Amino acid sequence: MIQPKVFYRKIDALLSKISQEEGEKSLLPSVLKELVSSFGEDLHIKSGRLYRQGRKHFVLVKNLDKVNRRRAGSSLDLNQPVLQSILQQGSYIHGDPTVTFGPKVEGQKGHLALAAFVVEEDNNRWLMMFELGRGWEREEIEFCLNTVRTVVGYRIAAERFQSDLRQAAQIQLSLLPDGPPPITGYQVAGRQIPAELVGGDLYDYYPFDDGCFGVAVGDASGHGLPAALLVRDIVTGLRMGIEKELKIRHVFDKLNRVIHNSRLSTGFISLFYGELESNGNLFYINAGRPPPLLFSQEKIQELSIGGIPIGPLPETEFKRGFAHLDHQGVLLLYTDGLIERKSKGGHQFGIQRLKELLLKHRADRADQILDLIFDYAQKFGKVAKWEDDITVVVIKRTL
Amino acid sequence: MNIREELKSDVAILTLRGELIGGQETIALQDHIKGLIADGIKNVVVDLAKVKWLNSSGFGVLLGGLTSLRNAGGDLKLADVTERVESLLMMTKLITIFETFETKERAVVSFIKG
Repeated sequence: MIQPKVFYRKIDALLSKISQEEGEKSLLPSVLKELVSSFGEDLHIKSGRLYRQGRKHFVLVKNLDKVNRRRAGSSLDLNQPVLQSILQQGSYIHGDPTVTFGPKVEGQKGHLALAAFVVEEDNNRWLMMFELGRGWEREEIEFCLNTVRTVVGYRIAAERFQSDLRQAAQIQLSLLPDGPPPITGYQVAGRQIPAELVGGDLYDYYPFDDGCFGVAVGDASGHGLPAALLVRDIVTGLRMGIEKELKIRHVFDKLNRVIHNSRLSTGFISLFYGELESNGNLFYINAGRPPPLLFSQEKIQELSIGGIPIGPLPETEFKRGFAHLDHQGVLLLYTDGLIERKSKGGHQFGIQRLKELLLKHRADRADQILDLIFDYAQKFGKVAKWEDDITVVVIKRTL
Repeated sequence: MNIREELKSDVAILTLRGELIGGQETIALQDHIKGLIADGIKNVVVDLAKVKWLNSSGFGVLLGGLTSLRNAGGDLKLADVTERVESLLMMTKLITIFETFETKERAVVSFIKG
């Protein structure tokens, strides 16, 4: 009899091996192999086979029995009662004389004991079958196979969910700008690091024909998929509004109504939008964001005019703010993740530190300032991992 | 974070302790407020004296609570906000949405008078 402790340790080891498997291929062949090699001796499992369901048969796709290759049979007729019973009940263990695989599979004398279970994976159905040797015990086999079957089922479901998430991440990535907008007179550098596969931050650029360009930075409340969906709504809404040359305040009003009326009760998003002209004039709306920093005329200004975040109230007023970017002036946009990053001592990165960093490196190029901020924040943090989404955009006027 | 509830007439005072920064904590608060509404309690004071920090997820759940309570005919008011949290409320301009009071007692009175 296998010791429960040993059993759990082996199950653990098996699972961690399974979870390291990656890629498009099914994980079932490796589960089969690992199961037989780690439990074979204790549970008297001699070998295993894996079948995939076809239209009329279960077709053999892997056979670990190297000695009696042919005994496995290349396919099993789907209509035979034993398979119908397995499909109904999920599993099978040798014992009931009325439900057997018959001499072809179990051997002429019926001395081969078999156990099997079914796993569903996307559109495929698999049958995993084990040959039991002398000394096997029903309870042990039942327990082991049921555990593995359940866990593999979870793993497959999780895999599917992960791949949905990966698709969401792809969609989100596709919404980010490819690179800096083609604008003369300005250097633009932006970067986003999501804390999870999909994030709640956004940034976007909007080049116009007359040499002006718009820039947006936002942060949806929460993380993961709900936040990512909110981000997508805002990015799409902004692009549509700006393309139609609507007044930006109207775009904000509309976005606010749409987000407020959507059913995500905790969903809201803070958003900064600014439009820069070639002469350095800037108008903007800051809806609930920590203030972007503008370095111009040897001092730093906080851009905080606007309103509350988008979403929480059905009606709210957004005001426009104005500022000016001198030659060599720098506009620094960032999300909460940067200023809320915590050090070992529990201190937050904070706006003050960001201001000092900007003052010190204001003569650098936009992309250099961007790199510096990320380097500095990375080292400042207690842990190397980014705990929140971080987005930074640096704009420098060069003409 | 933990939540302590106290009732004064038909006003529930929720005292929060710790950090309100998303995950399980915000879900607990969200569920707590939902439970109050289900039991017919629509006026809530959230005492933030012991809350060191809250981030966008934390605000999200407070705003969610505020919306649900207002829809039910009630309100959510904040009391005893620390300086750090207040500066955050100012920065995000959410101070214009939430009614805030120096003490939870005053917040309760504002409900009873109002």
